[in-house]
Amino acid sequence: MGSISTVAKITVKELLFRIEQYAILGVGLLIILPTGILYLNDSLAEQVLSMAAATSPDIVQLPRDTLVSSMFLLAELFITVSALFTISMLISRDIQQKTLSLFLSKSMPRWHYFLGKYIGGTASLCITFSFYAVIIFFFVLVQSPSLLSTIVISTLFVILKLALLSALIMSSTERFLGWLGAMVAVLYYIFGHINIKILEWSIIYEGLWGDMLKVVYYILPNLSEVSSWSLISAAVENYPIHINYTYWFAKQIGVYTIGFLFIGYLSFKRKSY
Amino acid sequence: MNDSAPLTITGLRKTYRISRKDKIEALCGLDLTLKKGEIYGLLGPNGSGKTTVLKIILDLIRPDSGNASIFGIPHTNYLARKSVGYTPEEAGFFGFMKGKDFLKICAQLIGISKAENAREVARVISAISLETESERKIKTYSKGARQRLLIAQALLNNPGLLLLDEPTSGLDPIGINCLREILSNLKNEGVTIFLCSHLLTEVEKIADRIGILLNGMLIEEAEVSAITAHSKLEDYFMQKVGSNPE
Repeated sequence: MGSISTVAKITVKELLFRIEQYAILGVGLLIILPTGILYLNDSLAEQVLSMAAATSPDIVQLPRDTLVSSMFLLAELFITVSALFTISMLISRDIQQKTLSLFLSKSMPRWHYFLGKYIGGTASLCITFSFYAVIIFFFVLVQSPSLLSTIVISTLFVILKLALLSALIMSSTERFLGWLGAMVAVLYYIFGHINIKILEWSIIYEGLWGDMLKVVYYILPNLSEVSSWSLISAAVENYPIHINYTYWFAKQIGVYTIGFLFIGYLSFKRKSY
Repeated sequence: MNDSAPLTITGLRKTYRISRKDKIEALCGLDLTLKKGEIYGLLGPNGSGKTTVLKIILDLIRPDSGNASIFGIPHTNYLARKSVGYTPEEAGFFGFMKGKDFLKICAQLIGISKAENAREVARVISAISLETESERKIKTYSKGARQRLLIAQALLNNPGLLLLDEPTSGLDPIGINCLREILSNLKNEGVTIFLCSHLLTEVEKIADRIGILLNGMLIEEAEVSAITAHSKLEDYFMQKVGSNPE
């Protein structure tokens, strides 16, 4: 098992040393920081909101919490895009760099390498996201400390989503080219949005149809923004049904992540390098 | 390690598909057995199937048919690689790492405990004379130093069988001389060395036995001393390969 952690450690080091990682971090910060400053500065926020209201009369007042939610969604968006590039290239980069034969010629089972790569790739994404989350955390700490626990929960959900998304990309990158694997993940991401619609419909339709839709919602994997801060709070406060997050957690990680990884490993195992 | 032969290959076949209709037979029923403590040179022109043989032994490539075993353990079992060291012809490195750190990671990958890690790394660094370079980042290494680092990582598990793919490729005469010395020392320690090369003069100097691979077939196997008693290995090779045109 030591070889899994070694492969994971090398992967994290390798990814964190790449300039692309810093570029993604930098661009994300360029958007998150001004939003945070806006959130902290009362007069500035009011000015922007009144300007927005002048442009579009429908916007009478933008709740301050929306700014936190926006920061969180932006961070999540950046990390998702980053995941598509990072995870889809994990193994193919080792093939290009000719480091794969060095790894696989060692006396360790192939699945150790595969799992180590997955853990390392996901961990590096989580480190990047945690960096954003800490910044958002400090903004919230200054302005509205009551929201802190929601931010922590939301961060955990994003990490879970990243684990699932990474496993999904890993399941397809070995069968197709890296970019095609990323495309599959994008399609799945869109599917995640349909999934949240299913949740909405399950609330609208009562009786058997509503119950069936709820079952469908709970069974299908979910990559949508249900994990984001705004939707979690919206779901808890406004939705008439209680979302069982323990079940959601078990479903996403226990079934789908392991399932996707297993599918990915089956094709990796058979391949010649 | 047990009393079984370091490497036994029987009826190994491998075909590569180059297009929908066309296939290339890389190996056509290869049989080969290595004796303990010998240096075996597998010779052949480019594309003759040498690297394919090594990759199949390491389970990097799946053969169409046939078997290989390392000290009696099937090559598909990862435990068989516990007694194998491998130096690829070309390998990428993590350039941001120091040579020493790279070796430490390789030691961790093969399950060397933390307590023994530093000692084992120091041992191979000294065996390959990499003391000066090991503290530098790999991206600053010369081709020769990279090649020595590759050999060093292959020696970490005290292998009973060492697989080398074109180990002298890109080395200067001093590097080649140094490698020859390393291989000679390993042979004296009882390590079996399987060497794939097309540099005949080098193989002549270090190998005990050679096999000539042409179009996936082992067309000749002989003791180097028996060949060099009559002619140069290069002339012998050209004669054999020339008489078996593609």
